[in-house]
Amino acid sequence: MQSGICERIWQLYKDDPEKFKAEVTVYFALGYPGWRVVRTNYAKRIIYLRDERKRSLDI
Amino acid sequence: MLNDVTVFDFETSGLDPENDRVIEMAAIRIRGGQIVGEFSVIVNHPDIEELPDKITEITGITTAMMRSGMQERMAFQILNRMMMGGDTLLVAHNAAFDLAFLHFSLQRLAGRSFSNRFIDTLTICRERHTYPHKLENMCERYGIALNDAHRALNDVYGCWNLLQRMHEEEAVDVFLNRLGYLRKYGPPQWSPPHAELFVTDNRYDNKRIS
Repeated sequence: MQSGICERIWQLYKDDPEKFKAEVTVYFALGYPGWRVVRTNYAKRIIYLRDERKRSLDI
Repeated sequence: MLNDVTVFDFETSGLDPENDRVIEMAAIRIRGGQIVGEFSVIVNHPDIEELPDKITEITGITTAMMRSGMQERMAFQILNRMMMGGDTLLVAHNAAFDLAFLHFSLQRLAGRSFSNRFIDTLTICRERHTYPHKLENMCERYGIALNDAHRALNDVYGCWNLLQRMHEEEAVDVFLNRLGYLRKYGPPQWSPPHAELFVTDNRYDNKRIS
């Protein structure tokens, strides 16, 4: 799934990649619980998520 | 009929499509029965100082979450790309609401609107079923799992599953571009130029009551 975030966080992509990853992780954990960030596309400002909710229910 | 469909849903900062804003959007595009696109984003509005408590209560979206959301123009550009290319049928539950927000947002951001055909699952529900007709009520009636109603992506999947089930029961073609509105509330503030509006009533135990 495609999603996105604010430009303030995107600015960290080059300036502070570790902080960028951390903020993206925190944001989507809060906003889209159960979805995992799999890829980011800085040029298009797109964040790709994978639905992990069903997987977490598999026993 | 359902060969190329884009199901979408907006969560908004209020009920006025002209003056309130989309704070979350979600859409899935289905072609030939396969989901070929999926998009969901919280939309930032720097000019909204604080989301009303009621909106946060309904949607689960806080002001802090909104602040880290995507820029509005970019969000609608991506949504617009999903809706273009081919004659995709737009689908929403209570489509009058979402289509009005789509229209006024596109007008404000791009100086134009949309011309897609559409189907409103709420209109179908009112014609075929007794009250209540909220998406969560209808999903329960059809045994469709709907977690976290009023988060846009969950509602989109719920709406798509509902449409499929209702179409399996009886073809929904007759509802193309038709919007039913309750007599007591009157017609929607805005509707697409190609919409056919008609007045309807909720039915309770097979009796129509205004």
